[in-house]
Amino acid sequence: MTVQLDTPHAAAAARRSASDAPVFVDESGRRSRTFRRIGILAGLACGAYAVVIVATLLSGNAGAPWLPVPGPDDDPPAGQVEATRAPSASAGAASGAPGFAAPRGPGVSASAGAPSPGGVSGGPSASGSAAAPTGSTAARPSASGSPRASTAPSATPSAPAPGNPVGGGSASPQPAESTPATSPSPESSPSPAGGTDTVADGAPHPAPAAAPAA
Amino acid sequence: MPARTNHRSPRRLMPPLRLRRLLPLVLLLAMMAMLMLRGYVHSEILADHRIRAEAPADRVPRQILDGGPVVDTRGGRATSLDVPDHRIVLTFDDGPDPKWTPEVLDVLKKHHAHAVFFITGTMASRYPDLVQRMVDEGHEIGLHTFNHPDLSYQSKRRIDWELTQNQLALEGAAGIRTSLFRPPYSSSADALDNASWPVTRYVGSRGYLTVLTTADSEDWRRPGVRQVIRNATPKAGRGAIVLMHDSGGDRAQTVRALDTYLPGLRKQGYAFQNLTEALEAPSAHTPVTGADLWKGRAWVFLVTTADDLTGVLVVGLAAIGVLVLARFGLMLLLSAVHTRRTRRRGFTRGPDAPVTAPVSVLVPAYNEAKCIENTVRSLMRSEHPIEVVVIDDGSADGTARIVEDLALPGVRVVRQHNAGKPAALNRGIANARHDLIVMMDGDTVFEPATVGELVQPFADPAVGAVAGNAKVGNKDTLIGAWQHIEYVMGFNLDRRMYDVLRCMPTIPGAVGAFRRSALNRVGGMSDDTLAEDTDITMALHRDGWKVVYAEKARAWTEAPESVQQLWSQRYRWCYGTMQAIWKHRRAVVEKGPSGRFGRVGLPLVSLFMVLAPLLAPLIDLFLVYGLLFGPTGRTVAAWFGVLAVQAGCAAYAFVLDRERLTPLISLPLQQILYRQLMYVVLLQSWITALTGGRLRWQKLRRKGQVAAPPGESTVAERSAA
Repeated sequence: MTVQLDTPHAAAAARRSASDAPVFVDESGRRSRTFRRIGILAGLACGAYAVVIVATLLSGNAGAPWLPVPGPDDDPPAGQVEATRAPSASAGAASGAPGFAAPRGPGVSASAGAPSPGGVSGGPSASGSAAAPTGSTAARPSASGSPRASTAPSATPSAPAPGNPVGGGSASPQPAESTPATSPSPESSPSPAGGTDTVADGAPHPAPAAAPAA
Repeated sequence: MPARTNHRSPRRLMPPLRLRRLLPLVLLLAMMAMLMLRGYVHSEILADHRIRAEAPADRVPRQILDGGPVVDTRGGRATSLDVPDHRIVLTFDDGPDPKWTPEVLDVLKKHHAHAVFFITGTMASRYPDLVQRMVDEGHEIGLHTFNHPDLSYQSKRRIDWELTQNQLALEGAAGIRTSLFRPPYSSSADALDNASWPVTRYVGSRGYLTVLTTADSEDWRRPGVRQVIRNATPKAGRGAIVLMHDSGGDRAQTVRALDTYLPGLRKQGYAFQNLTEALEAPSAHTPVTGADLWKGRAWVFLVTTADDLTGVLVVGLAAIGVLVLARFGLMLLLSAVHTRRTRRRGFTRGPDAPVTAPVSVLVPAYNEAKCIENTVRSLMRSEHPIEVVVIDDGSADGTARIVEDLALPGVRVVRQHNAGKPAALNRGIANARHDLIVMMDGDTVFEPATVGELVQPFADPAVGAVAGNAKVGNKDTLIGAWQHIEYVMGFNLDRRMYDVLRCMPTIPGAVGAFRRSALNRVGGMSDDTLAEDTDITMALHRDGWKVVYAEKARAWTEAPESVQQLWSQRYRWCYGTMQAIWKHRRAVVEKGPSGRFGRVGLPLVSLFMVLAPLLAPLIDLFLVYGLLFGPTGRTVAAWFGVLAVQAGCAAYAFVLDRERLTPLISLPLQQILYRQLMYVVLLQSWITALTGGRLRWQKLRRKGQVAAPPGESTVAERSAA
């Protein structure tokens, strides 16, 4: 068994490939520094992007700037301006003219944009709520000057909505509920602004006599 | 990157936080944030599509129900305003839409009409220039929430959020805030009920005027142009707020109707104004400046970037999808061709078949004390005449001594100072006596027929090297099973494909055969790269030699069993392959067989082994997004579809190799864990390649360390052997 030590062999050394270092290896470290700089910049840009997203989503305020509109008690510039005010005022003429054709019921604003990649075709279809209007319109007195009571003598019959409007968006199937017409459940005192209660549930009675003047 | 030193650093609980680990993480997080933003703005995330059914209206003040369409609930009031006679306020909900809004704006401009647009934040964020155009042309903007949820289901915080985000989008798009609001799914004032009235009050407490409708054109139903006009015409000169849509479907009828409706009603004495014009109030718009404006602009920029980048990612996903499927298709097709050809009855390898010349088997070994005896003894059972040369690369555990003590006939041991595997192989070549040389690893076990099968292709004088069929010996562990699947499908099915295409990228170091003359011509093994097997194979291709695959030449290797070892091995392979591709890049422009390899083989190898795997993380990215936020059903179906294709290919590979199909059970898990490990390996290889760092397996090249080139062993060495 022979032991062979390494022997310098000049001719062989000359025939080596041109590079002294293995492929890609950069002994001077220059490429490393360049890419390090690029990497840090890219990282900062990405980090800034994510941070700004979170910042804009969490900040901001919901309020609207004040818009002075000529109120109902101002001199009407032209044409009719209905005043519907506190009980003592009697000038209220019914607006929402009778014979007006818009159906009662949940509005038919079409669904926004494209709610799901499944595609939208023609927005949600409102249920056939056209059955409702005439009944309810008839129940309401359209005479002017009637003292405004807090509730109509009989609760406005809620339209027997044949079915819930089928909502848009194929991703979440709409519950097909139909709410029975019942007398409203007794209200509890208004809940303090809880974060998760819906506004609809937590609202107090509209105070009958306390509608403040405009 | 600073050079890593060889000494062992103390075991840490977590890997150190270096840029090369931090940067990909940050990138990944930013990408997830961007995808979620896009989903939010496309109403895929946080969208609420519930619509409340009608409720009783006994809690809504009478004067509101009977009152006008503009409900003022600001400051605790409950009053309404009506539109004066002979004035029509057209309102368009849910815009802006890239197709229909411009047409609506055009027709309004043509007839010098103003209108009110109740925009959603999602659409405004995506098409801010349309919003700017609305403002420029004198129309009014109102809010319609960000995501169009039914507000009666939402908490106060959510309502605030919808308003805030909607204003933010508006600020970014047109630099204004607005004081007008229309709730989604609303209609006329007498349609307010116990569910929507509290919403109206709350929104009023935030300072908004709630604008409802008096005449619903129902244009979204598309009942025909005449019906739309009829619906939208108020009675007997009264003022009206007309509801129309510029978004959410085909609005061609709306546009056509407007073209007739506007001049028609104008002749009857109506004026088309926006709301504050009709009410003779100052504009509902308030310009914003400073921080608010910049936040809005930033928001629009974020959304635009998210949309654009997602588009790019989707293209990338499509690309990787195509590549993956194409690769599978090619693999299946070409392996079938290869198998049909080589298993045909009467298939001969070449004019010099059968090959019976003796063969030199080189076994470079570094600290293989545990396996070397098995290896050498397995060689002893070879049916083909061989001589064995074990080259001990300066082992510290007595590997050479073990072999010497076996005192087997035909086995020689050559020792050298530790110089790396390429140098050891070169020394082995110098010491080998025969012209056909088989190279293997110190921990590989051959079957009796292996050497014979391996050298049969040399019957064709154009063949310069042969790749054998490496198999995983320790496949009972999970990690072993995964590698087993990978070897059978990935490597061996691939090899059949590459054999037919004549661009085999690498001969496995565990079982490969070479012609001495071919090795001499290309200068032997080189330590320019960490993957000397890939390097030499590419060099042989460029020299014009054929490289083929011998499926019956089976060798059993010991696959790494710990994640750490697997990581090391794959890192070396991946990085080494990239080095080899780069080293031989000039082949792309060369002529002759080198050019053929450079223009067919090299791109193919680069594409499938280096570039496509870079895109593969997109699959997982979209998978996670789809599972969490998107169309879950389709995402899962797509993933299973790809898995099925892979399982099919794997099953085919297993059947070809006559392997039992049981290990395939771990294929789904392999797709979830193993593949991701390979991404990280690839990523780290790229980073190392780009930054020029030296890996610890790469020897420092000392002058004078060069072994004698093959074929030029000194006289002294030859006589001593």
